[in-house]
Amino acid sequence: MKHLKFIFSLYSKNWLSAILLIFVTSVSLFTLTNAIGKYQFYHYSLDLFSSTKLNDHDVYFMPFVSEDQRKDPESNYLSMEQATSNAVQQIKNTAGVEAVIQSPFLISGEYKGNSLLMAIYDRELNEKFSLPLETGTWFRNTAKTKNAEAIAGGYSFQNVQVGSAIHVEYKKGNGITKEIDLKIVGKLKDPSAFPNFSLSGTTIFADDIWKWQDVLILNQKNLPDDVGKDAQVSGSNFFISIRSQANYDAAVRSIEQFGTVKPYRKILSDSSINAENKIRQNLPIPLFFLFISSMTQLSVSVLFVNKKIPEFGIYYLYGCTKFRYFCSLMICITALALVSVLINFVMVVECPALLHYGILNLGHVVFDCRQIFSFVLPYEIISLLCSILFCFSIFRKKTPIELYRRLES
Amino acid sequence: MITLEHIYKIYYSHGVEFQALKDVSLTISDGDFIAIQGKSGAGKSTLLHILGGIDDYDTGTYRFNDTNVADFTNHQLAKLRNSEIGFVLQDFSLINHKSVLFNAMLPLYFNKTPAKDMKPMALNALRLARIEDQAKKPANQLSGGQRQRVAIARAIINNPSVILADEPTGSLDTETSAQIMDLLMSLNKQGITLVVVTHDNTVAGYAHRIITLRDGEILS
Repeated sequence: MKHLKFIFSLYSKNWLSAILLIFVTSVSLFTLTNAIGKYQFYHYSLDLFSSTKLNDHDVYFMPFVSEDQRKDPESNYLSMEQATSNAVQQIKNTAGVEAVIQSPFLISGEYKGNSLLMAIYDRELNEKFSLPLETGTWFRNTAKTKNAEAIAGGYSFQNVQVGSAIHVEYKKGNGITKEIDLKIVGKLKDPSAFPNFSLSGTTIFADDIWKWQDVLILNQKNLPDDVGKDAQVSGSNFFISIRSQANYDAAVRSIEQFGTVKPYRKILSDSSINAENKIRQNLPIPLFFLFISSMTQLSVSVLFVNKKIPEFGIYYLYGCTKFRYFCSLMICITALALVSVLINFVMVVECPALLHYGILNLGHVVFDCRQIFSFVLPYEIISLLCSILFCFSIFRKKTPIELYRRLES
Repeated sequence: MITLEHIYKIYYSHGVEFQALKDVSLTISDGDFIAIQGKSGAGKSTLLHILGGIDDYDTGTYRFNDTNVADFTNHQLAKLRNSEIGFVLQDFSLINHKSVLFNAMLPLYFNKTPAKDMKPMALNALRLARIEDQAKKPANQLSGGQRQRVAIARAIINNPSVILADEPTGSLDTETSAQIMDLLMSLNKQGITLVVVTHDNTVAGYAHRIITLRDGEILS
């Protein structure tokens, strides 16, 4: 205890520089963590996309309904939904097309005061877009039951256990509040996402086909009949599953008359390139911050040692060895670095809550404590070792007798 | 008991050799009070540094309580300085921004004294040095005489057998000097060996024995 007290006493006259070091290092480490978090997000969305049951002869489809397609045989003008529905029907009838996988239908609801979305999975989504689970199992029961099965994802459900029943409220189209009891059979891995095919464009990346939000995924087959009636379609695009590679070219040629096709394999390769590009774009800022942080670490350490060297002359007289004093000073400096790492660790652990409540807005990131051990800690150890070596080179030149004489004079 | 036999010390500065001590032999008995005098550069401080184990010597033998100090490791030397020797310096050598109490208990941080005993021991040492009432003040708010009392309290906290004082009254007025010397004398009467380096003949007058150094050699 007294040794700690002595070490703590060495911070005197160095508080400002200590606080500055903690601040600069914490900000720099968090910038690094954030950049890695963004990179991990792109990889996670790519992994999520790869984990689907889609295969090389499936395509993402962005329909384009022409003026002609919006008219029925009697030349009556159709609504866009109706025209799209007709196009979907025609695509389904195209030779070689096995299935059309549409975005899940959504219902807005509320659970314990938190608004959430319920995404209804139909047979095609269940077959192709079963998602990786943290715990529990994907839907098994296909019979209609009182407590429909649900898979929960997101911070709102962090305390909900698999196997427990939850009560969710939602509003019907006529404004009447309805309630539904659900049984949680599985929990999605964080960050939670569900398929949402709403983005159109010349380049589609893996992260574009997911909606990143707290969600309850429901199985259509397992739901009471009236629930599905209040659901709304969440995206106008869809995936088309083509029966086999042999049918691929002909089927794609046929369906291209209804819109634009983006092959599954192309989305995968574009997403990989995109993830690498994003890290290249995002990395310079954290690297700059880390450079500033390393320089601050070095400067503060040297300042610390230089300010405390004269006092060593006094401590030496009363039994403090050179080795012990240097170690005490280095423990002081190491403690400052550890505080920064600890702040970073707390930020990473608390980030889901901070993001959920809107206290932080970092865009899409995947934080993970492994980042601390893989990047933050090694950086901090190297930076600290450099500072310690530099301080040692200064300290070793000072002999106690020289310091004592300086003290006397 | 301290014994020095044929101690030689040479300094090298920018390639120039300087003989600080030449064939110094000296015996200091327990409870002795010795004043070391001499002109600047005579080797007084060097002798005191060697006695305190903060500087080494080139040849000769230094025995502290019949143990050859040359055989001591750094750790043993540190232990010797901590438990057997107390230092009192002209400029007081206090950690000025720290409290009087912290300064007094400083040597206890470097030995095995339990943390709970540190404060009572420091207060006791401050009481013996008659500065207990200033314990909570920062050292830089004290007068010169008060600071030297704190330095003496720090020197005696571990009950050393020897106090080495380098110009202990050098920065003090005559009245305060007398008070500090009275304090040191009272410690000597309790059995602590005193070795004082001084230019001041009044201070030297308190000593049982005066050693005069000239060009590194003992004259008398």
